[in-house]
Amino acid sequence: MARWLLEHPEKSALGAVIVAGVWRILREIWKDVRGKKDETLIETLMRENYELRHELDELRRRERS
Amino acid sequence: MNTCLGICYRLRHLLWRAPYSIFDLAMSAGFLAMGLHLLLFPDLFSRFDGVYFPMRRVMDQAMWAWVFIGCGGYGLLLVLWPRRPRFILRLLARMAVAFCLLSFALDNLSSYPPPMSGMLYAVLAVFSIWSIVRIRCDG
Repeated sequence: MARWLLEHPEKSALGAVIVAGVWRILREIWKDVRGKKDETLIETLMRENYELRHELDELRRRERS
Repeated sequence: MNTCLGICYRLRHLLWRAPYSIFDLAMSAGFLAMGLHLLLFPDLFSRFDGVYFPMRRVMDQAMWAWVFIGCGGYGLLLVLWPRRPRFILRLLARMAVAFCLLSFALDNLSSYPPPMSGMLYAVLAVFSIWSIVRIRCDG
């Protein structure tokens, strides 16, 4: 198996990448179906921090122009 | 003009604040450069036949160069785009870069003894696969 993977790097790479991508898409669909956001407190704080920083950057840019 | 300014602003943000997207930026830029390098030195695969034999068996050097330029360029465009692109586009960009990295890593590891760069590519490939698995719709 390992030998085949090493002998055909492009097929192995394509296979691994497609499996990972499909897995991610299925996870997103599954999350949508459940309608639940798996967000921890840290993630919420980071998201809010990011949004606020973005807002601040926008305000600064508007002030400058 | 606005898009150009936006791209410059995004680049500055990535370089100064170094968020997680810096990995995407580095890998995409790296593959774009590698593609150009392959075009600049068209006899690279034949000179180092021992290392690049599995890749050469699939496609010739120029085709690999264009694959790297395409994947790297697409990844670079997406990571520098001023507004957050759609989830599926971001996922595809990471998949494209991961494909290049993984095929390069496996190609390096398949020759005996594997060159030292093989380990680096292998670690980067594992992380790029991880970045696909952990990409967030709202990230």
